[in-house]
Amino acid sequence: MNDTGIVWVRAEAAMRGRRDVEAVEHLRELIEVVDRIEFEYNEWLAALADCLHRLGKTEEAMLCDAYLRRSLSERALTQLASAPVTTESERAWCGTVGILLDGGGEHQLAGEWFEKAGMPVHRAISMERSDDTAGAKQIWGQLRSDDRRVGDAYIRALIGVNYALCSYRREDRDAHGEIGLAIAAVESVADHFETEGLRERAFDCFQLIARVGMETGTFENVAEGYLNSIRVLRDDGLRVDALRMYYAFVQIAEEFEEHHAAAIVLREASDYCAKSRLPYADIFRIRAGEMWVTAADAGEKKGMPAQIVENALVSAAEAFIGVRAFGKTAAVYERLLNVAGDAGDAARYRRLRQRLGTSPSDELKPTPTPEHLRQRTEYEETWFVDPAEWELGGDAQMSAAGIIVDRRYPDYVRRHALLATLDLTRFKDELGIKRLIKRLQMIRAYPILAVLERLYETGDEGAKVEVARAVGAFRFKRSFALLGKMLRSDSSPLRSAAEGAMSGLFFPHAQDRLREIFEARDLPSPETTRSAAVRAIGRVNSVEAVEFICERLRDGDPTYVEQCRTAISRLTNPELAPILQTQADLVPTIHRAIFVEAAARLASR
Amino acid sequence: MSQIEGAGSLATMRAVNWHNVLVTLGLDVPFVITHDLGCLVAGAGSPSLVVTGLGNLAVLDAWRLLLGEFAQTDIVVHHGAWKHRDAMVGVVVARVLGSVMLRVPGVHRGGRPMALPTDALVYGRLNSRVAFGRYEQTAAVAWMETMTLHRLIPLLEIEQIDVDTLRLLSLFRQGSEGLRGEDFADLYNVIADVGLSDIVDFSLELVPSLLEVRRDTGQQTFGIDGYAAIERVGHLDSLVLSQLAYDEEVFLRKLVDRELFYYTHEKQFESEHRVHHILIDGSASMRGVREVFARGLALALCKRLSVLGEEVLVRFFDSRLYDGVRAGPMGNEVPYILNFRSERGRNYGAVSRQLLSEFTAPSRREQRPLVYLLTHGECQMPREVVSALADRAPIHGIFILPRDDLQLAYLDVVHRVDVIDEQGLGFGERAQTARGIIDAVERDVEASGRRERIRE
Repeated sequence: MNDTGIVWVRAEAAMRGRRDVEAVEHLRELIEVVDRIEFEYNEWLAALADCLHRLGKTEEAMLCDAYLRRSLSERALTQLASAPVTTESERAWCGTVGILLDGGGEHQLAGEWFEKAGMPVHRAISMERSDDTAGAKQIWGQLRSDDRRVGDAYIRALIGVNYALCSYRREDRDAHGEIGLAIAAVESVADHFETEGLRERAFDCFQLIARVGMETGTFENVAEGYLNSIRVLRDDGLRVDALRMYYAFVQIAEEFEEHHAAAIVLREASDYCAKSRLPYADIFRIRAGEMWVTAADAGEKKGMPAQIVENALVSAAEAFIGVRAFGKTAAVYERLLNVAGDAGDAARYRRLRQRLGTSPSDELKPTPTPEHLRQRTEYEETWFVDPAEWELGGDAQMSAAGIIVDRRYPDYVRRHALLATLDLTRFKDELGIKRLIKRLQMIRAYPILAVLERLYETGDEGAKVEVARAVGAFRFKRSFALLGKMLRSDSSPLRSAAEGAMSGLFFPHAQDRLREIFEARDLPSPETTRSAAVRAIGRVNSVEAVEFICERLRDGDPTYVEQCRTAISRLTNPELAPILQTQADLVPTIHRAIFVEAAARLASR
Repeated sequence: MSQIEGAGSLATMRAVNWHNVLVTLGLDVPFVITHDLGCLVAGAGSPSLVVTGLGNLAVLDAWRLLLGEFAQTDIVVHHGAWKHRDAMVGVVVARVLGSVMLRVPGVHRGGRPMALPTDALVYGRLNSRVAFGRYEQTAAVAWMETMTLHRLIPLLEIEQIDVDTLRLLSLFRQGSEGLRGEDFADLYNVIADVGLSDIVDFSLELVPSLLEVRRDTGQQTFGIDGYAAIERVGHLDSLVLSQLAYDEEVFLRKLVDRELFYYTHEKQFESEHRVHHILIDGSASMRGVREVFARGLALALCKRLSVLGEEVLVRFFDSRLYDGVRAGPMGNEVPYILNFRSERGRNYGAVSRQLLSEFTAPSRREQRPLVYLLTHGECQMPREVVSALADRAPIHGIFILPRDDLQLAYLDVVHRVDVIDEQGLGFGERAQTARGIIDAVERDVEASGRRERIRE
């Protein structure tokens, strides 16, 4: 590629000379350079949009405008009545405009485009966003009763929740009952997902339950949603996310004045940190103690039985003792002297206070949790996103358009999405499946997986192999659903491509999926597939992964031994050093040296 | 090496049982440590006034002084308040020693714990003061040194043990025979968890008053003054007079533990085969005060219904209805109720369908189930399933702290509904609310019994 400076000079010259076709060629070359700073890239793109408008290529120009956050409303309004919707691609373009407008905050106008495109879910969402609750409720209601159209139980449950929440917001008489029914449906789907081992999808359901709880002020639902979400995150080894979720739950529990629950959960968080070798066990324990004191205060204020207040303070003392915060413990015991209903208990508290000496101090200075852990994470609005994804049905252009206008994605992701949509708009069916998949692969955003899934279902053998190669770039648990199908296919090139993709999918919460593949008994080419799984697990760098590798070494199957030895020698996580030391005694003697060496190397880091 | 006075060979024999409990829990502790601490906890001896025995006298003296400090703790001073069954003593000792275990030098704590023989003949001639001196003492000395060096840790640990929890366990459990490893682990968890004290206290508020047995209204075939047998249950006016000879404290403990003898009349009818299913919501939604009330009330209900001679099955539910445990003299329901932790989300629809399928199974048709549902105000079950359930078993719903008015689709088909609001949990109200519920249950049971007899 030419130097971008030179290309930009040529493009400027062409624009000055009103040679827009030539300018567009140069500008298309420039916007392929997605790693440029925002100012420079936006300048190229703005110039491209202007040229395209002058050339009458409105669709491409609107995509560029949407990326640049320029208003589309004027153009969209003028085109609304005249835009044709006879073919599938015309309908898809209407949907794309709706998505671009919705992302730009033009919800009402977006709703009209969605109506034109025949996309009721998107229309209901845009109506909700423009505060037209009555209209949204009507659409959700129609969808809810249309079992033939909405066959998926999960999507039906989400639609039910949206309908119920609209009822709740409108203060309808049947709102409470509707919410009950909707939550029951979500619970049932979550249970099904958990039973199937699809924890990440159960997580979405729990988030939904929490959201309903927050909106309707029911702490039971908030607790159900958050605590089960935490459980899923813990099971997936996502420690930081789990801690963030603990913090979020505690904040919410305090807002609901459920101090008792907050204190118990802080204690759980402390135990979790201790088990997971995170340095925050002590600070969580101290927070638990403080929360018990708050619970005692609240109990006194509410006129709760004296025993509840006393027990809360005893629990506080126990939490403080656990971290040798004797100063805080002494303060609690002094307070207990006044609270204790029984003379014997008072004497005991006095004795305990005396044991701590005259001026006890807090021995430990606990490691504080970083600020980012204490910020409440806003998770994806699954109640909107998932039905919307279902409605898109894996359409490449509309899925990528959604990424263009979603500012939560990094710039390079949005730029790749823009390039893909520009190609699709420009070449339409002539784009070719291979090039399309290459474009999609570069985006690496979650919504593109639905597109790949559709391409896999509808494509020919060649397309399937291309999808298999691409899916390795998507580090999501959902990728394994597609890989699972590919690895069980009759086509050898497809299986081989899928095995190559799987070797690249190594991230902590992929461990259980990789293990499932390793343990599967229905693989057409078990040796190569299992080897790929072992290679990927060997790069996960977690305790569970090391344990898996050690199991293989103990099994002694020569197919995997060399891979396992390589994996151990390439570990990079210093937290694994003590595990390796322990495992050195438990693996066959022949492998011991490599464990000792790896442990020493990691310990010295 | 032992620094306990007044402990005879019976105490040594009991110490063997305590030691074996520790072994079951995976703790490798020198016998003398278990013996001395256990004797104190069980009230089977007191710290000696001067150092005795053979060995490093400085260490032994420090150990003796530490035992003296242990002797002042609540649990030792009030050892009469709970029943010193070997399992309980062993678990208490395990908790205290477990706190210092990690500070004991590695060579003396990593060993594989070995159980001791329980044949009394082996220990018949042992003198605990000198017996330990004949063997290798380094492990025992290391433990003594560690415990005296870090004395505050075991002392605070023993002070943290809630005597009330032990009392509650004593009230439920009769005998420790047949306990399995997991039962010890359950007990250990209960004793080690200060967070359970709310539930324990709530149960203790209720349980003693529930131990009183109300006479059933059955008819008898002989004169009012005739007695048929001597039993452990009955009214004070039927008390065997010699029981009044006990000391006041012993008398009261025996009264609470149902160890006094009463003259009794023979009951006329045989009770039908009723099974009370106490279903407790174990889901995360209950976390906090709701959990305390539900579990405390469940414990009390179990005890009351058991005292009335009813068959009780305690079960938790979340997305499944778990098998649960039967309430009985072994008191297995106490650690089960206190320890249960859900590891799934909730799915009340599935739970209600599971219960219905159980009740309609051919093997259960002979039983008359009664269901108690302890849950929160958002427990949404399909109305048609609850209705079908209600046709087979009366359902008593107890809904704790609903947000505002309880609005559940199936409320009109359940037999009885109790709503526990914030006021019901307030000062002086909590126990009264719970007693009200239990009284209602009892009236239902009595009425059900009467109906059954009329039918016969």
